[in-house]
Amino acid sequence: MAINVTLDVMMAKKKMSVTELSEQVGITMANISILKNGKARAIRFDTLEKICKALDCQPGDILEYEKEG
Amino acid sequence: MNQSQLAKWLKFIMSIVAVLATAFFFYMVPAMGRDLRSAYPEFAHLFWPYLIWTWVAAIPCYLALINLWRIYREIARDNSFSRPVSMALRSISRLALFDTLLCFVVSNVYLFSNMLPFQLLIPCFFVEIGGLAISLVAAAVSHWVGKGYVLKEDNALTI
Repeated sequence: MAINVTLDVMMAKKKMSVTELSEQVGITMANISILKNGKARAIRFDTLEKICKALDCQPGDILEYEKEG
Repeated sequence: MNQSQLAKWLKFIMSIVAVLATAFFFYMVPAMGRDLRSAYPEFAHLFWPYLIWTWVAAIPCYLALINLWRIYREIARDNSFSRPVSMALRSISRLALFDTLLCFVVSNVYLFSNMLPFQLLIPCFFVEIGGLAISLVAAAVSHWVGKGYVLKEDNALTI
């Protein structure tokens, strides 16, 4: 997929664990892992908003577009 | 009735169907054939061609039952919208189509070889219509289940 999730980079920067993020965002650790591993097909705006709030960042900090080919 | 109970009932009913089919294909049909052979010795040469036709037609029926068993197993796992169910339905559709074509081809070959009375074409016609209907319905349901599986996956992977 051309959209990469760089959630792990931002979590490392903010020194936040998966457990902490899952508690703050209110989604399961399994779903955080799906996001981190780039297996998610889509992300809801409200989830994105909660993640940005928890990590104090912008959507562009955790999502990046990569040109294919 | 929950998924597990429903699957158990369906498996139970399917087991009865399998037993009845076995009795029909391997006891009733040969017995009827033997009776007819005794009553009408002039048709004795038709015994084996008809019995072989019946047995060959039975193979797709048993394969369809195996596929139905797979579907019920997935229902028991609460996994109705899944790739295995879609594949099993597609397989049932193809098996029904095969049996329909077999019935059409063999009945016409026997008819033109003077081995099939013209009146027997009517039950063959009903078998062909039934087989075609099963094939079409199974193909459509297979498509829907496949689409449902994609939607379910999308939903599960939307965070």
